[in-house]
Amino acid sequence: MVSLRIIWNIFAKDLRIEWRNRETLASMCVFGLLIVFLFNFAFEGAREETLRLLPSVLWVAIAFAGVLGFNRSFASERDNACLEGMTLTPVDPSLIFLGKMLANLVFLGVAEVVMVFAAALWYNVSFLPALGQLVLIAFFGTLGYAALGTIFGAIAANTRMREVMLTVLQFPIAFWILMLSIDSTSDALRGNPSGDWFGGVARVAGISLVFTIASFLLFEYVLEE
Amino acid sequence: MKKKFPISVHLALTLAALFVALYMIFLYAPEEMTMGEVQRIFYVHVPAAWTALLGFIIIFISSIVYLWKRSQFADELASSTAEVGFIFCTCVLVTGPLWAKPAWGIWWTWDARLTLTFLLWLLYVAYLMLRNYLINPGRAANLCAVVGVIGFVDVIIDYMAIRWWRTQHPQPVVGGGPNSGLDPKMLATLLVSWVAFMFLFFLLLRVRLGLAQMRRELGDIRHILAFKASED
Amino acid sequence: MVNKYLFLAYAFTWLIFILYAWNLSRRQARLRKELEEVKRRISEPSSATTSMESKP
Repeated sequence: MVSLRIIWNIFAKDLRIEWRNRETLASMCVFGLLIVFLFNFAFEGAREETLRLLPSVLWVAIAFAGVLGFNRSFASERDNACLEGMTLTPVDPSLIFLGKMLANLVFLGVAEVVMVFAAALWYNVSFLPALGQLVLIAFFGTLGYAALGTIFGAIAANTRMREVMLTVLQFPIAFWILMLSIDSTSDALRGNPSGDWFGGVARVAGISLVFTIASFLLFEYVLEE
Repeated sequence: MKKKFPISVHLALTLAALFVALYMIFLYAPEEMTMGEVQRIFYVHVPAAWTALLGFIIIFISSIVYLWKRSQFADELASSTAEVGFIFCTCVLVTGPLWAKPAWGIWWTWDARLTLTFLLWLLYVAYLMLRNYLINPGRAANLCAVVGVIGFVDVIIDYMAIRWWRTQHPQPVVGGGPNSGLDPKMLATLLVSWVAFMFLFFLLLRVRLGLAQMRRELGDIRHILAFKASED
Repeated sequence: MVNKYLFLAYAFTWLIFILYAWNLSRRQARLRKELEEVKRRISEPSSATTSMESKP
């Protein structure tokens, strides 16, 4: 299918460009690591406390690393007039959205793996028992977050204060994706005390899909001249 | 519409409604048993909150209409409502703590209503920032409409999510529900106050809309001027 | 003796709306002036000036 190939092309292009100097990826990983480290160090001591805070710390780190990545994803497009170029091609804007979103998803996913490794090490926590559930939560949470980051990144690229504008748009709107992800992750790490692991995943998946579909449908208006 | 309902009449009615509301708030409504007279802030806090929410609903509908029909008026309505609604929302967030502190001893709490209002306020800020910080103002209509739609989707999700969250992490509801066990005189005062706020909201909206339309007229004329200049 | 929080709440409410109304009227006056000026220029036959951007 032509559409899939277009999505793949855009996706691959972003990955290829990133692979050349891996700047964005490195920044995201380092930034995420620093946040995890900061909280681990600051709350050294009471293990129960820190364990309770771990999901929040992780998702906050993911949130900030994500915004960092989304900003840079569109900064280079803006600086090189690529956005205008993309608008001029007879390509369905929604496909551009999917390509860029998948790229953002992959970058953030890689950063997440790094952060989780660090967290497992520093907090002496094993993510393995609930791995399947955690992967699902991480995937859906990151999906919705990346979808919003992609469309808001494109919108913010049109403003004078890009990074701030993206953050101001992203955080209030992605707030509940983060909250529900934190909640489900917390449940998962504690072994599902309520016995309902599907509910947590479903909530995160549901809210993420709503925002992903909304972003997908509205993206064409963002590129339109 | 202007001929049927001139702005001076609107202004007069607004002032009259505000006066009546003030009378009822301070001289008609009975004093609350536990909180005392501080409770009268409620008659400003709640209608302002309803108005702020109404404002965002209007932004949502105008945004959809704009994206669908490319109506300039829809875009102007959205941008005007954003400003006016923001003022009302700020009012809610200031009167809230001023009521909460003497009544319940705390400045703030993340109960359903306050959380929703704060998130709504953030959305207003985001929308207004986008409107004012664009490099190319010609793109404002499209981009703001997109934010208006996603923002409202978020408001709906906020509402549902907050309710769910509060079942997981229950908290004593501050101030009871808006109409839980309200004395009929208090209810009447609340409704009159709300009517007054509605008059005020639409009055400010009208003026702000007029501004937006003037700005458009200005832009159109400048276009003509530039065109004429290029012809010479 | 009125409760100070009650006073502050109502004072703030009045203040914010009055300030906003004043802000609106100032912007309106400025826009109106600009409109007059531009309308005047358009009726002049020789206008080789380019338009300048301004904020209302």
